Amino acid sequence: MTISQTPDQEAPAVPANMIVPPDEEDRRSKWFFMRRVPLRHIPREWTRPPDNQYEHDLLDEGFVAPSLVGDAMTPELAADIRELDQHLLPHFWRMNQQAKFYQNRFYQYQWAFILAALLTTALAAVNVLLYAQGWTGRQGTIVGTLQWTEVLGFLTAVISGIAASVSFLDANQTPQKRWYKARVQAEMLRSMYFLFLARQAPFNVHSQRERVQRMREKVIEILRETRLTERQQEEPGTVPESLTPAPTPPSTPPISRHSFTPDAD
Amino acid sequence: MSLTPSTGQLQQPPLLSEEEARLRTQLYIRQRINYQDSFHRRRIAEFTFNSEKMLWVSAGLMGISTVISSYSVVADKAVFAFLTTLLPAFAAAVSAFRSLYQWQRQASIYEDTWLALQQARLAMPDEDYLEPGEYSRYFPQLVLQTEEVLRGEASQWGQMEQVRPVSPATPPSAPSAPDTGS
Repeated sequence: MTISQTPDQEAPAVPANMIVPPDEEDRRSKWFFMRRVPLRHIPREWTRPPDNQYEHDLLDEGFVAPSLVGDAMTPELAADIRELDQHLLPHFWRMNQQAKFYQNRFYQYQWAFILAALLTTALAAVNVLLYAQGWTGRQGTIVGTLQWTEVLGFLTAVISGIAASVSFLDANQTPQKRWYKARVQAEMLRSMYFLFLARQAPFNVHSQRERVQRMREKVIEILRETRLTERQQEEPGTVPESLTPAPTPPSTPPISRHSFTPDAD
Repeated sequence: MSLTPSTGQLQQPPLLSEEEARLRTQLYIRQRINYQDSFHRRRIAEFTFNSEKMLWVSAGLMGISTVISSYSVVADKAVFAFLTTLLPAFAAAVSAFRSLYQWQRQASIYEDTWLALQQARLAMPDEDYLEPGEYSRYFPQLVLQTEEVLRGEASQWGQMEQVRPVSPATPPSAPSAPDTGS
């Protein structure tokens, strides 16, 4: 039964499937280098998937989908879900996707640093070993004849160059900071979703129109506050006295709420 | 809307009927509390696992490095000196990953939050013993306490200071007070 078909006078019943299903994540290895390895590419922008997939995504993220409620759906609940889907969730998905993107980018850079340090040491050690062994094998190349120690030295220089480039990108893109901000916004929107569904303050008014209007204002407020804070940090001279500057983010990364893709949280 | 005889004030009807409150309570428990409960338990298990395993890996690397470096003194073979150089690099990489992910600290924070969530559940009595009309009475308390716990967790990461939270006490157009965490 769809939302529109729900009879007005039907008494809500307990949804049958109230038990949290087992998660795919539980069946995967817990080793961080298998579960948390950064992905090669995560899209930065969210695009709405087909309806079936979207409903699945809603449930995965802990939201309420009509299929979850089933025949117990009431017109009031259906209206609330519809308004949230229209005014709040698009922003949540956008911020959630950005958080995943920057989190993945942050870990890509950190892994690159760590592996570059390891490889540089390893190559240098191999180089010294070959030199000590007196192995001066030569390899013909398009630029002439090279010794293995020269090849290894060149590889070491390449890896150091990559590490330097990544360091530059990390310093300028600040993925960790952007990840924090996007994650906070997404979690605040998630909290607001449930406050709205529960009709708790500031959504504790009888008029649906007023409630929706407040929700729309709060959504924009959450998105806008961060923009203002960012601007303060970029332009210290223009900081209004009433707004306090944001503190430096801690070194410990926050954990995202998404639980089904590696490092997506 | 009705007029109360004692005060003469207009009494607002409840925002949610008892049946509506019951349905939303059950949805909230499943999609918010149980979801977060499950999420936290999985994370605690994962972080604890990695913390313990990588501690063993570090200890193993240290032990092997010590043995090989001692043996390389008398063996006089370049390959042992090579391994003596390489193993500390692996140990440093393991240490770097431990520092990056901070499994122990994160597991501890999630453990605290998970316990606080269990405490927030107590805002609502066991459903088997709820009297008629009590869903609409206890549901708001359950929501407020749970959301406070989850906001508190976020503030532990130093996140909430960066943006201002939705403040239930302020009108929608007014700026809300910064969350000081719980």
